[in-house]
Amino acid sequence: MRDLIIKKEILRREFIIWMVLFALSFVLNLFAIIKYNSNWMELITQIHIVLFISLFLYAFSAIVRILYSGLRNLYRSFKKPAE
Amino acid sequence: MDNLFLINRREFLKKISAFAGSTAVVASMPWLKTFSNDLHGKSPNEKVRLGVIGVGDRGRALLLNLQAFMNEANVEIAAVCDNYEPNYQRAINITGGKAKAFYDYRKLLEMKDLDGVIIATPLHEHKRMTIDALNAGMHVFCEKAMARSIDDVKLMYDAHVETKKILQTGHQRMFSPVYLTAIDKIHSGGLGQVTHMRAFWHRNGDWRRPVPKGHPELDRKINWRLYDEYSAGLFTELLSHQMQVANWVKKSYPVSVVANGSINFWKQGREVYDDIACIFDYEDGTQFVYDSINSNKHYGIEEQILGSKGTMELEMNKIYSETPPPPPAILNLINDIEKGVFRTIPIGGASWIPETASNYHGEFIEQNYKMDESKLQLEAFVRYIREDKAPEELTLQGYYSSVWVLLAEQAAKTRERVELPKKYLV
Repeated sequence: MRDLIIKKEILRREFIIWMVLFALSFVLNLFAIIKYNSNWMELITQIHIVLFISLFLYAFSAIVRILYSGLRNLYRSFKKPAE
Repeated sequence: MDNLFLINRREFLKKISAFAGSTAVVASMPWLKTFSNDLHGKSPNEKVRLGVIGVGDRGRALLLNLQAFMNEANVEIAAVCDNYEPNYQRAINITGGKAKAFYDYRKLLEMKDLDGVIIATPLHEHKRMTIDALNAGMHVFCEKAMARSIDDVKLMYDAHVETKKILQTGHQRMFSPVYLTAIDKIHSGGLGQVTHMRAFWHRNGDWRRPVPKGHPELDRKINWRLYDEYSAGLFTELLSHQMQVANWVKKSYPVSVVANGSINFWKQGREVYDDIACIFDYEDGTQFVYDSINSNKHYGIEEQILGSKGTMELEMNKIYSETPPPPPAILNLINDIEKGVFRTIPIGGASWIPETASNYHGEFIEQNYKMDESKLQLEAFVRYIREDKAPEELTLQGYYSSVWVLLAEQAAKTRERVELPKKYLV
């Protein structure tokens, strides 16, 4: 079995992706509070839901990216001339 | 666990003292007043000596409850009594032989140094034991309901008035922190106008207890709840508690009752109904709808208080506002997005929206509730003995609860609307 090596760059990239998604979720909460005329305290009190949404979006983005890279590899293997 | 209980109990007593300081609260729960009063009967240094008559299932529970606080409250269980040998032996075992044991309650009442007795015998025995104890100069804690007939309930009440001795009934919800907080909220308008009450107590079982082999003659003694001569079944054994709660909520008593009852499931020789339904009508038009069965326990027990501004489910310790707080905005947004994406397109069927129950899960009436009100009511009884009196409202709650469940039984048997005859008004 091969060892799985996660490079520092990959870790940093994934962290940045999650941070962006967290910021997006936070903005979503901000938008919701304005739209439903809710209490500004929800920016803090509902942070667990924001965190959950960001993790959900991250998982979703990971699935999309894995699917994309899988399809791309498949396409490349078909394009490779037969030896 | 014991420590936790003690801490909470102390907090509760503190809360009761705070309650007792409020004029409004004392008006609706006067039995709390004693917790802030001076003691006129016995000082805390003097032992309160109690006797326990009847050590069946309930009597055993009360005895154990007493033991749990007897040292702290300077109480002595001086005597026990039961005329059924296994219970007699059980009483001796529980008290470690320290209490004098009797088969005949009259011998126990001859002990002149007893301050009070706790009566937990079958219902039909309550009257003579209570009256004899009161006449012997003892304070009485009698399990609910008070007696098998309305005349007997009245005789017990009259004896209490004549002897000026305490007569407390085992309606323990009057000492429950949840109920005390709930009733305070209700009486201060927290539910708006209470116009309707619903309660039920559903069990799945025949109530029949095993009779020792070779002794069929003991069946009626052991299974007294099943026989009309000794008990009114679901009316006196279960409804009695919820009747008291309904009266407490309304700060009033019903003006009439209609009821039905049947034996439709357990038909092996029982004489009391295993399925009852009643509607009590209060003077202001409030309806109290009640049912109790022995053949299904899915819904269990509950008292639902329905007001114009909210609902309470007292057994579940829950309060539900008619205008529940909105969910957090972010969840609202997600719901709206979900509705937009997965909305159903009607292609036929009902054109109305079904008015199903609200999904709102409500709030707790009382937080961190861990106390046993059966024990609290006994602690209160000891306090009342030390003061040499108990608030009359406490006895009246037991009296009217006992009277009205028996009137409900009468309504079910006659299939007629029944009112309280004036001679029973006290």
